[in-house]
Amino acid sequence: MTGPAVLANAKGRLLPAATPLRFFLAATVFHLAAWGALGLAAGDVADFVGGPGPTLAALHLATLGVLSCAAFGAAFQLLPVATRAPIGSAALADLAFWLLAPGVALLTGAMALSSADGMIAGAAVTGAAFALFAGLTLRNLARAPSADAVMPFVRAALVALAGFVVPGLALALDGRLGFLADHMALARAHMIVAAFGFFGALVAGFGAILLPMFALAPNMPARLMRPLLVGLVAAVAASAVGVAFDALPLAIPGVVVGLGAAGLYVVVVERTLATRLRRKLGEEFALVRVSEAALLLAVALGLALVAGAPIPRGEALFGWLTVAGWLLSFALAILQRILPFLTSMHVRDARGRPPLASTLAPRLPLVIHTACHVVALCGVGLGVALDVVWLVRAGALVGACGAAAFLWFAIAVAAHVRAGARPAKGSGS
Amino acid sequence: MMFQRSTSRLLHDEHLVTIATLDAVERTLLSRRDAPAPGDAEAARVIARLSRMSELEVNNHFDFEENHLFPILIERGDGGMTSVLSEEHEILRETGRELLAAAGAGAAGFTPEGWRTFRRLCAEMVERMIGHIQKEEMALLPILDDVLDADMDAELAALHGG
Repeated sequence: MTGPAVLANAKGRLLPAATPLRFFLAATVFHLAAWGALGLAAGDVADFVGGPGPTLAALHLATLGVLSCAAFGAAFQLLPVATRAPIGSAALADLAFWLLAPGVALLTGAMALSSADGMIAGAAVTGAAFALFAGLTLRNLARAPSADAVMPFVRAALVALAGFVVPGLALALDGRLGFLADHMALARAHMIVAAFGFFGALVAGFGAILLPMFALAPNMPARLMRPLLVGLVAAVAASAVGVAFDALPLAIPGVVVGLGAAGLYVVVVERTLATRLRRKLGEEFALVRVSEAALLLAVALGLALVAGAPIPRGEALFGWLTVAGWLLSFALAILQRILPFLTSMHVRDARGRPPLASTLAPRLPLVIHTACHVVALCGVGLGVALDVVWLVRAGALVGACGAAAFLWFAIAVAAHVRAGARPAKGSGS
Repeated sequence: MMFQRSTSRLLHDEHLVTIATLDAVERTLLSRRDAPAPGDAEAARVIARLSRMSELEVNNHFDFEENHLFPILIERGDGGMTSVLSEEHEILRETGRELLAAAGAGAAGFTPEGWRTFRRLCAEMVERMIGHIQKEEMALLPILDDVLDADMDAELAALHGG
């Protein structure tokens, strides 16, 4: 089912407004916390290759906090209407939130404080949230009356979910019990499976619904989406196993295939956008393009690293480009568009009509956020590459300002659900 | 977007004309904070084009869908989609009527307040219409391609002036 078909059939399957909005608001709070933690960790970021401390906390605030909250909220909202099957229970979706958000807070707090017991507890609660998410999603897919383009990507993401949650729990336990032969190798594989397997599959799957809808463009062609999925799965499996077991003959071809899949993804998106019916693109596409560039750079750098190229601070830069450049940019682009849209479906204006999405959100914070996000990406990236701590700290500060602006935007939008649909000051029209 | 049925292609072509009009509204009218001078030919041309769209083209398009296509889809079990589209038709018709009234009031030159009202309505029309076309292009027209057989398609296309 295509994006607007999702919209056209969405009314009867919408979860209560509070369910997705709770996830999205939590994502924006964790977003601010992630930049703050990065600023506190600035001195350690460039040399970061893993291990507990504020840098690990900042990384997981971004991945588990921002990306997972956004992914859970989007999946619970979009999947039931895409698959034409109910999610099952809004209460269980809410329970997933009440496991995920406190779990992430506990886990990242423990990481920042290097508390092994806290990390085990946080990882267990967060893992339970992911298990519940997987259960709800699997049940939804099983009830779907017909196949849809997004479903294979969601299935791949669920396989990857198991592939990074279990190692994540093992890594947390290893901090106390010390049973792993090579903690760092497993941590690298955990990162690859989480970033490219789980989040990557969701980016491609949900992107296939949302990006054509946002741009008024045709569907992404199935003849390109199928090889994209095959390439993504093969690349993640080979590179993660290769990195975990230090098997370069597996890792290098895996990343080569990954580079091909990343290139194909960008080609698919750009070809779709090139055939859009309307010349004007939404402002969120600035961040979509940033995310595409960062993805290509990240995978190219990853290939150089597994091939043994001597790139100083290459691992930290790879992580930065992947998580902040690619995934965070994409997630925030999507959030800035779907937050007002979802809210507009849950409220009515004074005339009893769905309000214009543009009247629900002030534009200024989004302009500030986009500018700050790009400056912060470049600042921190340069700081890591050149090993300049003040540049990392300044970049994190700018990023935090952008995150604060995004939080302002999200609160302004969500407030309409409680207060009715009065137009926001400074909104588009 | 390549549609198989003549009916889908006809509606798609009408969407392209509407999008071109909305693009012109954004470029020529929404970009101005102040009302155009009375002799501004470019603004007058776009206002006339927008008025024609609101008065004739959109209503013909909506009427055809509601009277001839939606009953087929409702019978097929797609009533949820047609109810969303019908509600949007009503809102767009209402916005169109308000837009025509505001354009008429400014026919001899807009007052500052009249221009603000007209611009607000133009912005509303652009946003609502683009959202509506999104749904039709990616939900309604592909379903029509699946549902209509060759005879039904030929009959509907002839009815809509194809």
